[in-house]
Amino acid sequence: MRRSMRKLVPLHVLVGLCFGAAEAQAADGPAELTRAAQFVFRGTVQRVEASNLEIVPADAGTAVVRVDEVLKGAPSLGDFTGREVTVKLAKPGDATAGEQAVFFTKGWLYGETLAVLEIGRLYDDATRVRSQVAAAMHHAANRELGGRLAGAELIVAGRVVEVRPAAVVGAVGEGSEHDPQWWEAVVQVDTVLKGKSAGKSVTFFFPASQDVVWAEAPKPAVGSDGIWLLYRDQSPELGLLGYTALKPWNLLPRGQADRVRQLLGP
Amino acid sequence: MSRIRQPLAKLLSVLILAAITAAGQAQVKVVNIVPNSRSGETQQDSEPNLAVNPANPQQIAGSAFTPDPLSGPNAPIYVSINGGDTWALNSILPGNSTFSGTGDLTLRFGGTSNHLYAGDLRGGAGLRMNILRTPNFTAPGLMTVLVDRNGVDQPYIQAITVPGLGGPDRVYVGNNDFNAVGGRTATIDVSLNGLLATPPPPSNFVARRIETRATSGQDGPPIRPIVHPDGTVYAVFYGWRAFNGSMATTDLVVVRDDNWAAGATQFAALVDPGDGLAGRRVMTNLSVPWANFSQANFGQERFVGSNISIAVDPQNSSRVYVAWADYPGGTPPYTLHVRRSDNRGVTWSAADLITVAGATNPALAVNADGQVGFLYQQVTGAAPPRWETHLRRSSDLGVTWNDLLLARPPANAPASTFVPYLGDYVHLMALSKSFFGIFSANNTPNLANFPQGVTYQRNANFTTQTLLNTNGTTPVPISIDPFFFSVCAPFAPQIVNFAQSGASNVSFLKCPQGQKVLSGGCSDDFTSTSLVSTQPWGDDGWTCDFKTQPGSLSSFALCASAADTVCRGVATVRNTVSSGTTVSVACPASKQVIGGGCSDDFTSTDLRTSRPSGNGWSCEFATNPGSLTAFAQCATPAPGATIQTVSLTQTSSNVAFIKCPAGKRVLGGGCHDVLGSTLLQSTYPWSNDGWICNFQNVTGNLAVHAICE
Repeated sequence: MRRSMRKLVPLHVLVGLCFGAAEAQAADGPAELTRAAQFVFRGTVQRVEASNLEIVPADAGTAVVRVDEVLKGAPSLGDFTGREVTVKLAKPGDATAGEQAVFFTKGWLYGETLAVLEIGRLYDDATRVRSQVAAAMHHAANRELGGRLAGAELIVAGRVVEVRPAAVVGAVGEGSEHDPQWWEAVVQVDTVLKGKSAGKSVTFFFPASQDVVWAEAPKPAVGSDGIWLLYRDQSPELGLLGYTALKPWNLLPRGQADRVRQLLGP
Repeated sequence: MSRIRQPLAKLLSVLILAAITAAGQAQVKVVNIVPNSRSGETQQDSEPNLAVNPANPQQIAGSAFTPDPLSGPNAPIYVSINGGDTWALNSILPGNSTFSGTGDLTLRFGGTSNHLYAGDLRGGAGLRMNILRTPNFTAPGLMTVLVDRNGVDQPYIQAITVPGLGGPDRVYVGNNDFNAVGGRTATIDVSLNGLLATPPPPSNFVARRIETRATSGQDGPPIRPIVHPDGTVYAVFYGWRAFNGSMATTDLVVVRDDNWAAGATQFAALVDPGDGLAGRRVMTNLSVPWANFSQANFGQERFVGSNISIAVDPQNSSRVYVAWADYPGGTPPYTLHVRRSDNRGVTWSAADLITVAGATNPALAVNADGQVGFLYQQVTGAAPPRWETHLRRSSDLGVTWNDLLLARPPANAPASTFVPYLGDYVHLMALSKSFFGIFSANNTPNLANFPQGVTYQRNANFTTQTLLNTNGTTPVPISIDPFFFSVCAPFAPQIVNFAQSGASNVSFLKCPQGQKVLSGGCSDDFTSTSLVSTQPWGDDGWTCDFKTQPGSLSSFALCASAADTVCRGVATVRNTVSSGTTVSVACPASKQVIGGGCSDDFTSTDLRTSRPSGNGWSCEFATNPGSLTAFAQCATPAPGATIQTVSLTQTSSNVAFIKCPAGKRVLGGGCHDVLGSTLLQSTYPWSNDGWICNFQNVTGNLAVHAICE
């Protein structure tokens, strides 16, 4: 009886109903579960009250689950298709050997294999869930980029024509090993996607430092080309008066131009 | 010891059999801590740090510039619950840079609180320092943010529990705080009760400024505290007096506080005789190079003056060591120096105790024997140059030093993706007699690069010297990985005993708190009953079961600190048989037997023999009532020490006893009724360097074995 109910209703919805059906549905639907989860996979429970990580004691709240298909992960994680992982169940005892479902999880421990924390589970048709997860990921990616676009004061497409040391005095961290070593890049603008450019070129600060704190920031060189998301006060404590590009996503490939336009809207 | 009734003359009839066990096992543990599930990773996991839990040394936390594997919002630490043999990542630090996880990060456990503290520059947030705490470092969930402050560099944390029941955790975080007035940036954030520190930040932490002199605008990045259980807190830092962009002219300053930094003034106990200001200038006018980019002629590492260390003798808070790096006289090579003070930092050795040219990342620690350890990384040779990681140790206050070469991989690969290449620091710490440390290095799976041996968690083929992905077949490029190591010392067991004089025929005891059992023994003090079982009781006790209770039955446990037993991987292996009167068990090949026991699981038969046999333990009983178990206590050897089993056969008495070779201590022992014709009454240590066996009858062939180190 319980299993058949779960086939019809996403996990936790019943709990959510106690507080308001509409909210619970929103919180536990595939879209929201996908947004909240870091690792989503279609899996088959292999063993209950089990663990395949030494550091995770087996108990009623753990199960070993084979990953049959990864629906959401991260390239840096590697491919876990076909491998067994330990799932810390959202509800102890709520798993049966052999059952198949889509598991929505967050990362926990990365040892001999993975241990993940279950935040939801769906028993719906795999094809349908796959499609829903993909749509949710696409939506989340657009929402993330949309947020970054919204935060940018100026978005231009163009090519860097000059880089030079910046005359920034008294910046926090100057002289430390994390000194950003501010440089300026001058971009020859061919398209303004957001904001107003004072001329055909725009100048922004970037940290030239190889230090770990700044290493992921774009390091423009003459000829660097793309869509530049330029911020003011990207890190207010830096006190920089001008545009900055501090994160990898401050530079997008030109191939993203249509997507950027679409997200920026009319 | 009153049990030795046989006159020495009777020993003339014995045949001494001695066997020296070959010490073929690895004596230094070196482990690449990247977990197996991360076999595909190619990060530059540099700048490592390490925390071993003094209350449970099986628990170890490590860190490096390692991002969250799922690119999530939180950064990981490395965690181990088995003494560093295997590791996992647990993302419990708020903030994550997909590039490096965090900025600078250091970790430390409280002394007995089991809480882990961290000081970090939050991932992706520049110079935003967090001080954090968790009661369970393997659990999910973020560490609690106790301090959250911008404009701070290089937090380096120490923590200790004030000795005594329920003592508070003291937490000290050295940092270079650009918020300090007048460029006097050397700072220690202090909490006098870390367990009670409650957000909002700064909780109960207070930033204590420790620079009393004018600076060139700031002090050097490293501010390193160290704390002694008696409340003495030292810190060392570079007091920058001039800086021209490529060279800092600096003092090396040591400050001290004698009361946990809890008084009205803090870190003012050491006054420099030259200017009367707080902070003893150990060295002045040092030239420390500054080149904040990868140096082709220094193994791709940078120079940012972050290489100092301080350590205090745990048995003597007046004895303190410092290490620093500079250009001697203003000219290369980058050189490490170590000096010592025996009077609480007032005066210092006039010359270096040891000097190492072309090296970086000094880390000092002093163990319970007063032995000082000095870890560093040195660029040597050419074609290709190599990064050698050395652990030097001195037991004579720095006069002479032995040398353990832990790693020597090429320094020209992989290419640096950021700086620091290996890190601005490594870490070394001592618990009891053992040293635990961490360093980062090129991870090519080549045993020639690891002279003490190495264990990889991640997939690797040492024959083809290739890293392999999680599928075990796809090659993975080399990168920089963190390596944990431990270096152990010979045991000097504390022997404890308990005499059962009540009605029970069972005598059992536990080791003192904080200690684990190495082996044990049992004595029928009235020599009128016989042994049924002699066996370990958990990992910290011993239990003896006798046939009857004649009035006094003693149990013995040979104990050592938990840290030392973890360091040497002390473990019990067992084997149970349901038929036959003999049962034996062998230690794994990587370990040597140091003791053992035997259990008549149904307590209905008699024990004849409980003895070392080969690299294991052997038991013989009179009958088999259904379940007989043999236990072997196993451990890895310690560098420079040999575990040796000495044996003696007694032909004319029912008592056999033997001493270890001169200078050695007994770790365990056993007794052998060779003819299988009598019963064992007692098997127990004879002082701290011998073993005694008492049998029911004289058979003409009774043997005693002592396992000595």
